Amino acid sequence: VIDATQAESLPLDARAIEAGLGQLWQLAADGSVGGVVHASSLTLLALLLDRDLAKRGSSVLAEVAPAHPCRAIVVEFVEAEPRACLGAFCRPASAGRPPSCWEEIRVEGSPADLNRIMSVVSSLALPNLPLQVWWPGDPDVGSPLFRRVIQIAHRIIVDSAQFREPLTSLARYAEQSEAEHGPVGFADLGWRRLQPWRMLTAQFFDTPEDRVFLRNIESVLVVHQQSAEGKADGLAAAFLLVGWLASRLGWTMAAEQTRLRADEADMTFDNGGRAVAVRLQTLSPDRSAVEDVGAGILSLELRAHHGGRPASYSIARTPETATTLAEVDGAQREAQVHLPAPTEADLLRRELAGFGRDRIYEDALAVVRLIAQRAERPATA
Amino acid sequence: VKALLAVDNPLREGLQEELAAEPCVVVIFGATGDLTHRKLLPALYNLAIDQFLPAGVSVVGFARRPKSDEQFRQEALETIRKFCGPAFEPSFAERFARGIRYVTASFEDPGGYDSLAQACAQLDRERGSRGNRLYYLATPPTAYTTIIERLGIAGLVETMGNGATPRKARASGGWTRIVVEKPFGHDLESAEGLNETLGEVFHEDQVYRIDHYLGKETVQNILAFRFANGVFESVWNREHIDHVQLTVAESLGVEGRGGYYEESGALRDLVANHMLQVLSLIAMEPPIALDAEAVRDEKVKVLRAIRPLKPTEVARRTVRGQYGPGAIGGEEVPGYRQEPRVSPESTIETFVALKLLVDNWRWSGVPFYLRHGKRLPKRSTEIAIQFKQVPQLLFEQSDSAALEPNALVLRVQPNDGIALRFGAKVPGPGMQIRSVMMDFGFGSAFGRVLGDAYERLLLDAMQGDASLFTRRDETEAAWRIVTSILEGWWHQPPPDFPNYDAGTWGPKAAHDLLANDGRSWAKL
Repeated sequence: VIDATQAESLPLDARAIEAGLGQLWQLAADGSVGGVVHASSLTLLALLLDRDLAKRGSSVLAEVAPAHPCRAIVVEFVEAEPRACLGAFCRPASAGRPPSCWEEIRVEGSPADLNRIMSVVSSLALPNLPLQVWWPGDPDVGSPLFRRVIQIAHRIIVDSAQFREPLTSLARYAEQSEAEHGPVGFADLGWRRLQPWRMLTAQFFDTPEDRVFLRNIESVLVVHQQSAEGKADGLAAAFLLVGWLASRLGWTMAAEQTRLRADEADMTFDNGGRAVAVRLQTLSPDRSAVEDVGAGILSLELRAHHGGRPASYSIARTPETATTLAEVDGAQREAQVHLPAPTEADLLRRELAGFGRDRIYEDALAVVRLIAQRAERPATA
Repeated sequence: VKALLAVDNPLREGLQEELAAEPCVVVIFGATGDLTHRKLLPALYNLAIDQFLPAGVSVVGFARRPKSDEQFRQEALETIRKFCGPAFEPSFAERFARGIRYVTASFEDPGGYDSLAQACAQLDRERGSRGNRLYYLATPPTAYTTIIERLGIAGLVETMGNGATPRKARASGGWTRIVVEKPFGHDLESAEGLNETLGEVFHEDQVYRIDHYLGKETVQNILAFRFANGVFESVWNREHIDHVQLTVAESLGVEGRGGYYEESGALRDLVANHMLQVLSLIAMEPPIALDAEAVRDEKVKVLRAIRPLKPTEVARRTVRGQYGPGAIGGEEVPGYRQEPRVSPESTIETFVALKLLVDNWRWSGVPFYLRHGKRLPKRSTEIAIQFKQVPQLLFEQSDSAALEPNALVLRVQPNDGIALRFGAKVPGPGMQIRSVMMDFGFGSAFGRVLGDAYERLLLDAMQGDASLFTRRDETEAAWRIVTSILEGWWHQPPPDFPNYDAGTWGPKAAHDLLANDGRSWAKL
């Protein structure tokens, strides 16, 4: 195990920082038998722009970095002179996991120093390796910092579950991704969280007998839960899930407006002349029938008719599992699958393994943007 | 299959990489054996907990040792707890075990197959496995023919000889596939016999001959390395490559498998399958697509291009050895003839070295040296592509041996990775050149644990993807080469065994095999 951190912070100077890192690795090598070999597969720029995020983000990074040997550049905004703290870390092989080393450059400075900070970040990015940006919290999509980041990033990773205004922020994220014609990838831990839901939904329709109902869905109900703090949390996931269904099944927005209320959102899609009614229902934690499930999507239900035969497909979450139920012509097929809630570190670890653009996500985002454009918001009191 | 599902089911788009298998019943013949417990049950559990298997996947163990469903279930849970380590989660394992059944019967007993049919039908009803069956032969090869024939007679495979599309032919609408473990025969004749038996009951595209080497990430990476990187493919030929070395070195002995090894030996045990499969991946032409048939079409062409050896060539181009007592890692170890269930006069080889020639346009004149042995100094599997020396040496070396030709090393185990050897100037005055290695390690680059080969291969078999399984013509082409060597050895005088000490790199003749060509084995 190597945990080498530089006792003194350095001025914001790329050459001094590189030299400091070199010294740290040399120090680590001197203290170990056989020296230290470290390789990097990417530069990870973590924008942890307030104290809370910085604290939480640091522990997430400590879990993620061993799986993605990298140069992590952590940017924190504080009201202080810009400075950098350096660290070099190694973990030995354990539980079949190979040994791994990474280095960390923690850059602190005030928002007013943004240009200086970003210029140093640009210099410190490892050449010829992807630069992935992890921006937790509620990033100001489209802000000068966002645009600056897009210029140097190969991929940007947000978490839509942390957006304060999910529909608005997702729509702006969609705008940015649609405007980007280069190779920059737009990723979202909220989308990654949806993956098992997408998988389980897709599995219903692997057989030809069920697939006929896929083209004849009449209604969708997504129930999601707010976190105990009253944050939106599951709403972004619910919009993305609907965006995914609509984009994959070729539904277009119907003329009706999307009605947004405090605990419900209703929208209608056009499926080749047939209406698909979609409802997103928000449960506050005290109304949830299931204990300890946490925020996010609680259930999905699809109803369909084909040739006079009714069918319904539902997935309901419990803390560690999901129950899938297909009911066609009164015959039921029920199954339970393992579905533990992933941690933020789990999601980021998996997301960092990806590269490039995710067309399926961008298609879903585009639908969410359309929903936002049709939204009739509740009158403010 | 994956692509078809994505076309048919639009919700599958973008999920192919994590495509789950369809619900099915996995029937394991030889369910009380080591393979089932060490590899198959842990692999199925890991696939399930990683959400690659739908809840409707069930397991039926079939073996002659009497057991109840519950006993087998408890044994399975214990096995999973032991071999899955941190992935073991009691509540999930309990749910996984609900889909486990056991049929007590000998492989010859027709009644056992009736019980199997009933157990599977019940699972279809209870767990929605829709008649899908994956039969897995985890038994000694001597049982293969009986099981295959009995499955056919019992009507548990409803496809053959009628032109029906195999995967869709069962009345229930489900598919039937069979996974066959190596060895696929012990010579060309027996391999053809086994294939005939399989062919009478199953269609070839229902047969999955498993060679777990092909499930290893690093072996698959040979394809990625060759065909995703333009820079190497242009030098991947006789113009630039001097020779290729494949080494599978094992420090272990026969580990209680003396009885099996006495029937097999190093050539049959490893060269006939793993090593010739790896060789074909190294030497194949680019396939027209990355699907099972296209890849296997190209692999089999390589095997066909390796001329079987004439008896006179066998003497010159092969070396066999058997270890005597010695020491490995500071520990004294017995010789092969002192191992349990091994004859004290055994003439079975525990070491083999070969020089094979691939007679085609790309590889003409480029020798492929293969070496495999037990009780060698260390465990190491690697492929070394030795490039030709530069046409003119500009640099005067004080030590002429220091400037070696470039070599590309693909390490399969341990420390899976790729290394490129090239010459670099030694810092200081003068122009001294020394070989250095540029090394890439999968572990340090991706920082993730590589999945077990059985997980990948079981999932592929359940998904109907045969790319990483061996086709009938491949096994027969491989046996044609190996049988020619076996016949050559048959005509030679009995070998002077043991001819290498445990803990050394094999008999001197193996060194001479390359030395006679002005080359030497890579030092591992």
